[in-house]
Amino acid sequence: MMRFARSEMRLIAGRRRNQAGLAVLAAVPILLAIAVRLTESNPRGGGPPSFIDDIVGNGVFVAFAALTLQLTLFLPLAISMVSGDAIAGEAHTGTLRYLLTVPAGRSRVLAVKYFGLVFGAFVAVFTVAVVGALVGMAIFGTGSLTTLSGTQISLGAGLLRLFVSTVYVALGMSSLAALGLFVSTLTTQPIAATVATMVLTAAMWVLDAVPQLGWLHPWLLVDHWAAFADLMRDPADWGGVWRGLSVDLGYAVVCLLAAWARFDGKDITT
Amino acid sequence: MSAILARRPVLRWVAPGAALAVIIAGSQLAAHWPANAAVSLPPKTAQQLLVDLQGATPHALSGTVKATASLGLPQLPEGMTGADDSASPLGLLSGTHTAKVWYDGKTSGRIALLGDSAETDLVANSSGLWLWQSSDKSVLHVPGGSLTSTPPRRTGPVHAEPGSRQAITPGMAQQLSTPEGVAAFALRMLDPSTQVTTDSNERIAGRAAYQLVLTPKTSGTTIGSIRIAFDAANFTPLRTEIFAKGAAKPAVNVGFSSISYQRPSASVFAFRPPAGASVKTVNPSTKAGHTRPSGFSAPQLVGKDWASVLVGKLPAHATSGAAKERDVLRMLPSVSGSWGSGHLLSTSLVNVVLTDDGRYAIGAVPAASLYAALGRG
Repeated sequence: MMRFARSEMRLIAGRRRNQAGLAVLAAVPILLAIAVRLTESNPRGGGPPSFIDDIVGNGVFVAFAALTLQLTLFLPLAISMVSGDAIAGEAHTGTLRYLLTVPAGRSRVLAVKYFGLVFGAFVAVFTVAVVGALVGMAIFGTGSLTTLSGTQISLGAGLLRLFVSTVYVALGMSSLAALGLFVSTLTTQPIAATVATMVLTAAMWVLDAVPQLGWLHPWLLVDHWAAFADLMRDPADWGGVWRGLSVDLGYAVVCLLAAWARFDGKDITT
Repeated sequence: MSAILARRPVLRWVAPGAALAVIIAGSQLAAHWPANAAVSLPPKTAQQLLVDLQGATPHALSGTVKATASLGLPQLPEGMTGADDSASPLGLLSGTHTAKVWYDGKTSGRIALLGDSAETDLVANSSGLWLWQSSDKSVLHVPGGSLTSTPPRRTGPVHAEPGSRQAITPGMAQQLSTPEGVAAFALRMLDPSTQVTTDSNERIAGRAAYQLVLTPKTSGTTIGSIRIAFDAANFTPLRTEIFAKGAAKPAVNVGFSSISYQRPSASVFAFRPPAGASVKTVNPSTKAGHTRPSGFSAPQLVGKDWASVLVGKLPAHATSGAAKERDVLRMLPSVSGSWGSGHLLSTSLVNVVLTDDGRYAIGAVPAASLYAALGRG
């Protein structure tokens, strides 16, 4: 089992397209930091409130801003790509039936596939946060952080909050990976699974932006993804984060069970 | 087990289906659980309740306040209402907003208006009043004793006066964002023109509560009733609802969604402007001089009680106005009559007329009463 999981992680990390995707994810905080540096003299304020204004004061905010920016498109796209590939990709290349010949059982194959996806989600999100924090601190320097409440916290406390925020975003992405894994069991075309997962994510963002559908918002996976911003209040507001984690867990459980129901009962011909 | 599943693969779908059902049912149950718990408070008359209220001592608390306004405001251009910036005081006029409230029971208090990755904080502590806005990193400091120039936290009608005579200002919007503030505003209107009743058996933020119901006796106002709920144990105001005449849902609803009576730690009230913030210090005495530019005349009150109308004249420079303000004005329906002509801002609770010659009339009355007041004034 451990060996199987390790080989799955190696498979995901070794793919050229995954490495290229990771490079894109890492490039965003670097571009962001350079852009802010070049336009530093511009009057600030009035823009979208997503920590970008804070970067000049403390480089650590590059990580927060990059997480906020990539939450809507790049991170879900990366997760959709990897998770759509998980089952459908094997089916497409005809390797799925060989995978099922190892005495592991289909449930176990699914579990290892999901483990690999969670690993991928954590690597992707931590790459964004770590690159952002390092580049930011190198360009803008660091020190104590100003919270949204206007108080200051020490660099250590700020980095701890960044760590918790990063884990929170990674867990949200892991939940999306469960959705992607389920979609991936429905088809033998990895592209179709990726596109379908991405469309579902985009549709949820659209629904989340319509105020008249307010009753639906707490049920959308993406609704609480940005709740980690509440951790930068003083005192930190955990309400949104806990609600987000429970939504993440709900989606993960239902999607994984659905993936199991589909995959375990499916005729594998390819 | 696996033999059954092998024969009937469809049975596997029972697992995700059951999980989904459990999640939906569980969340519904959790959401309605406290509301279903029965409340059986001994009935109280309005008189008893008012006496209890004045005898109540301020209580340390921390909690979350939700404010919902459905005034039926016309759609204003983006950026004018601050609707995109939910942490700004003007944005409070529409939609639902969340604030965190802390009070130490004595002199320190804090209201944090939460927006998306933004926050507006009003802190009252021993060094005075601080207003912090994260969107533009600005700090407004009013030095002085704590909580002397903020609305009093207790809402006994006796002490409801200081700071409440101003018209709608950002400070007023802040005041209206707590149940206490709205309650103080409503109780000032309380007089013989009003029928006062009570209601027990409410449950708000998990607390059993009494409700004071104020119903105007006149038909000349747009306000149907005002309901203020108080914690049955310590008479802390928990919720205020303002209903328009004939409306089933409140036009304004400000209330705690959760509350705890534990004393918050002192660090919650500490505030020091962070590095990089623009700090403006306003002295209360000099501020009064600022707000009265030349050409400003005090507004007068026409009519009485619920049907009263505030009539006045805008300062000359305000009527020439910025282009943005004129654009907004043009979007409002134009009205005219024997009193002149102007634009009407109509909401379910409050109507405002701005005339073309720079006069205004505002009141919780039908538009016709505004015209009459303008004609007289």
